[in-house]
Amino acid sequence: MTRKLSTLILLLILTFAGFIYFYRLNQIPNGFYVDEAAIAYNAYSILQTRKDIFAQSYPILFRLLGSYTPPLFIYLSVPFITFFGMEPFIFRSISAISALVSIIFFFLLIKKLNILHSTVSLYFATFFYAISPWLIFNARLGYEVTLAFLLFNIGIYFVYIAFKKPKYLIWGCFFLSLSTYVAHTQRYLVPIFFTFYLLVFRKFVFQKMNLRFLKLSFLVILLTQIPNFLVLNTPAFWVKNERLTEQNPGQVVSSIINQTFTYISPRNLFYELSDIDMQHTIPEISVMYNFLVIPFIIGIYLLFTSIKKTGYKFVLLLFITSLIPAVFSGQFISIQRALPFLLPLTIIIGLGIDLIWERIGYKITLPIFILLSFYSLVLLYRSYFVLFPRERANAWNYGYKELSNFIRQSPDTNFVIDNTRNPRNYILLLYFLDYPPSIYQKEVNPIYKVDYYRSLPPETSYKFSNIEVRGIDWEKDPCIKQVLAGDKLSISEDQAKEHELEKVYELKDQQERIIFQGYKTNPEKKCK
Amino acid sequence: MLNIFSQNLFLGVLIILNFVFLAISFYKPKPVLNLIPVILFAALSVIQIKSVNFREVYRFSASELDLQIQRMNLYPPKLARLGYILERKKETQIIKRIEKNFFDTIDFNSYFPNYFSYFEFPFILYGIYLFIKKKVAIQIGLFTYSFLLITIFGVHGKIGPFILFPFINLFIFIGLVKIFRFDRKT
Repeated sequence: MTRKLSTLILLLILTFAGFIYFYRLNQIPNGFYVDEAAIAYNAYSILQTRKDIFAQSYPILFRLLGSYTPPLFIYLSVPFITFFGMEPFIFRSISAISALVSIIFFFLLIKKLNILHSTVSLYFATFFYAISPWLIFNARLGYEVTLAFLLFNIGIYFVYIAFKKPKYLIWGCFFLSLSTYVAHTQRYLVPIFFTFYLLVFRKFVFQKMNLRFLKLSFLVILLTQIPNFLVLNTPAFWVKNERLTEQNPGQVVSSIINQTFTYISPRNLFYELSDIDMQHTIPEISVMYNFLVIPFIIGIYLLFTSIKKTGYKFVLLLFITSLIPAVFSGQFISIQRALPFLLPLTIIIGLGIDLIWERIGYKITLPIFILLSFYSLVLLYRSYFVLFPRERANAWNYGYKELSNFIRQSPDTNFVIDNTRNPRNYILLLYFLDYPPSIYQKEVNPIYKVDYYRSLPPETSYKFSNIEVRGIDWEKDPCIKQVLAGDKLSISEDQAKEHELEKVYELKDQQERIIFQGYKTNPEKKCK
Repeated sequence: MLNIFSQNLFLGVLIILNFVFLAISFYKPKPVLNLIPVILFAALSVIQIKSVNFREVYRFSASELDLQIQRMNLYPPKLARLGYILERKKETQIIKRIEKNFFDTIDFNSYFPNYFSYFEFPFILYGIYLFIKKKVAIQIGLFTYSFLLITIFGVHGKIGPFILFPFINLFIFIGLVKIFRFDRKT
């Protein structure tokens, strides 16, 4: 295949993927998730005040909602806000661009791995990577995971090509190190991957001719990790380690085994995700299209039977290490933490596609794959563009924009917004109300302003402007002139009747279910 | 595996017998020896089929039907036909059920840790590799048959997908034999 044709096919894949990643990006996901809002509002705060919302000047880790997230995505968002504004689209487009660039590096990596015999399977693997529900889902998120995934993949690419040109190990280490400043997963994954890499490929890495580059690479890591070293000794840096300290060792081991089995189970990968967080999943589709389970199983077989070759060994190394942070970091399956697994997973599927292509021949395989690609797109349309916006709207905090508009209309009214089922929803109001960060910084509970990196439990109630965000106090609140707002469970019809409340606001989702309702209190009647 | 014996002793013995003859015919694939597992699998198939309420496997509950209609109505008017095909058409729903059964069949959680221990997993993987490598046609045929049977009837019968257990035992056995070199000739 000529270089021109190869570039053209890759460009076609990129264009098509770009269309899917950017199509109605502001509307789907339907809503704005709290993590997106936390990133957006903190980036806005940095832009306006050079401090985050807790008045910390240029943090190394952002407290956000208590997660102490690495900072790069937020700092990168700042110029985007400056030039393009604060719409969800802006933050999500950083992920969409990251996903697009990751397609190029995926293509380059499998090409360099030299484990596929047919060029056509290379393009099919790249195509299925680009349109995989997992990548599409992450390409349309307004927070850090996809950018971290991209930087990690770039790093992996350079580390692999360093087998032929060792000087690229320096670039590999640079990008891997950089990825640790984007997401928690990479902060754990990079050292794990690197340790295993040094162990598995020690004969190559520690060759005399490579030592110079190895030393330089370590120097790059040391220098780029200085900001992390500065906070290494703080509780904030280890905030995601509770799992290992909270459970007893026996429980940890059994949960790790269980989780490993669930993560790699074909059912989880190709049929139905075991992630119980509704925000992480798309209805009726898993991270890969169901029929790809066949090339996956074939690919696994090929991987283990050809393990002595460097390319295969490298893929196996990725296959094992990329799941470790996810398996170790939580009691529940979190497909988001397992995102780096998408890389080896698709390479293995590519191996299977390659064998099918080789054995059955293009006359049968080509029409089948074209048909299956079309079938995949129908499945994608159904799950992501039809079912997802309706069925996951609640998980994506649909309605807070409208609620904020309602609040904005009554600047002289006091509001109590119930946060019992969504304790972090205050950030959505700050974001949608475009509340000045400089004022919010003054209203934050002072205990959060001292010793920033001490990992304190998050607050349960928040007060800013004319808004209080907390659980409703049914003894006191009906006796104060204000509006109580929440979902159907926050205020039942019986409670409204009992406390003489008058309905002033109602918001329904696209399935005609009430998601928000606002009730005006009537202290004169209720508390006379 | 042991809980099969406590639930149905006859079935437990049949599975073990099946496994023993599979193992014998794996190492000495002679036509006469191959015939015995075929007969035993026929018996296992009958029990497997009887353990499942077939109508129940392909029956849709009221809430499932309700969801189908709800989802069908989510499609834009131009694509209403597609919505009907994907969400409501009976054939599509049956295919979806078969798909579910297929993924239940290859789901590790259908077997671990309820019927097999996690520690047996590496031996199973290695055993599968050896099984595929040796290519005993009759055994591959029997395995495919059992697999298809479970895909059609589902894994949620009274005693689980037990028709596959003789094979899983076989994989563990041949994996163990190879790893610990029990087949080494002295």
